[in-house]
Amino acid sequence: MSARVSLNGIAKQYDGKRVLSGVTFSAGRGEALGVIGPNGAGKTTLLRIVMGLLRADAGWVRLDGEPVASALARLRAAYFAGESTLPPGVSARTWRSLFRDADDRGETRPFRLLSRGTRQLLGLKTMFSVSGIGLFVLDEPWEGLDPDASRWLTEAMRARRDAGVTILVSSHRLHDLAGVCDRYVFLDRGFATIVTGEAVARNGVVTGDGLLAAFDAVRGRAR
Amino acid sequence: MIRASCLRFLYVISPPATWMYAAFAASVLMGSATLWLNPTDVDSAFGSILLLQMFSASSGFAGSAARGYFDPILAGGRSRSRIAMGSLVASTAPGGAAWLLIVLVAAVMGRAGTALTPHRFVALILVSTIAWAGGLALPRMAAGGLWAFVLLTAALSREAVGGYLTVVQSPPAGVRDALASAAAFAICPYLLLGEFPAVRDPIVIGTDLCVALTVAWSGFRYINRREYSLVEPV
Repeated sequence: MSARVSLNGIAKQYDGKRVLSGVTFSAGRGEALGVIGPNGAGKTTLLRIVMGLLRADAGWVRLDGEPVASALARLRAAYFAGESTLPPGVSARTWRSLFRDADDRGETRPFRLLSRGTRQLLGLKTMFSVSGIGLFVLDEPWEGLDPDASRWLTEAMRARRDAGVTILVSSHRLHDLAGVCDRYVFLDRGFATIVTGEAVARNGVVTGDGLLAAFDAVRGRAR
Repeated sequence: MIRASCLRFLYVISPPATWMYAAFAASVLMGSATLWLNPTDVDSAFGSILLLQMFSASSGFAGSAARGYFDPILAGGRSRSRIAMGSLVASTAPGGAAWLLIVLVAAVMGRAGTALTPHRFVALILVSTIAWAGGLALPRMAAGGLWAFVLLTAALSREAVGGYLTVVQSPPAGVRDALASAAAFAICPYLLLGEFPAVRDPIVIGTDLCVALTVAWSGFRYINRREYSLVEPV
């Protein structure tokens, strides 16, 4: 499997405080990678470095073997960091009209008048309506979604993954991650540990509890 | 992923306030009325548009970017220079359109020659670029507010006003005088709306144009080099 996303030795610090240190992993086409870590572990920072929104202090990121800036111009990549990144004064219809392939029908009220879950769902549906995406980078995508919407998202991610799209997704909802991801990046105190689905599976099934136990083991908190 | 141009995206996501459009419309109407009553008075119409442009062009780019509103376009593979150009045009277009409407009205009144003089356009370009670039890292309209405060403070100081008028009231005798005049105009572009002798000096106007372009370039550089962290909403 050729690597769509490769990171090597990524380090980042804010105001002298280390956030990421030597993070190295890669994800191939048709692979979903879950990023797991406590609040402040650097998950959002890591995803924003992959999308070229932040610069790493050390190390490099390649998308299809190219530096991020030039690769993004060619590769269609979708990044969604949650409903709080949707402009509150813009209606969902106008928002969708800015994206390729997204139809500009539907909700006409501005985002600020919609519930958090509805905003999250509309933001995600806009991203998933764009065709030809080669890389999805999603930051806490299940946050605020009701069970039906969560199920839709999980199925949409599985369908894209099975169609060869690479997915990089961070979440605290481990049971949702378990239903989608092939491998996991555990982030703790800046360091990353990569774990495969097989390694955390119990009776061939990856569960949220299994992921939590594996993460605890990596952090030296195994019970 | 984004089908809209950088200009349209930024204009839709971070448009000028509704009251700003109303203020520009009122300025154009009042300016047109003034020109109707006194066709020689082009500059009072331009003056009010310049004042509004100071605030309108100060778009607060970094604040919106820190909330993630520009993520799709910043992470969408467009060059940062195109994004910067989109931001500059989206922020300054309403003021530019109002300005052109006044030029049109002045032309109808037979004052096209006055309205189209280079120094008046340089005044608009200076205000647009300085307020835009100065406002990139500040909250929306803050650069316009700060600039207005500085000008108001200077206007209340008899010494400062005297100094400015001395510099611009006579044609520059040399390069040093020309640079002093250019500096005075860059700090207070409203002086370019008058018919002071210095505004007709090509070195002065050329220098001010260079200042505007340099300031715009620094704004492009800021957008190009900036890191786009997310700030959690309160």
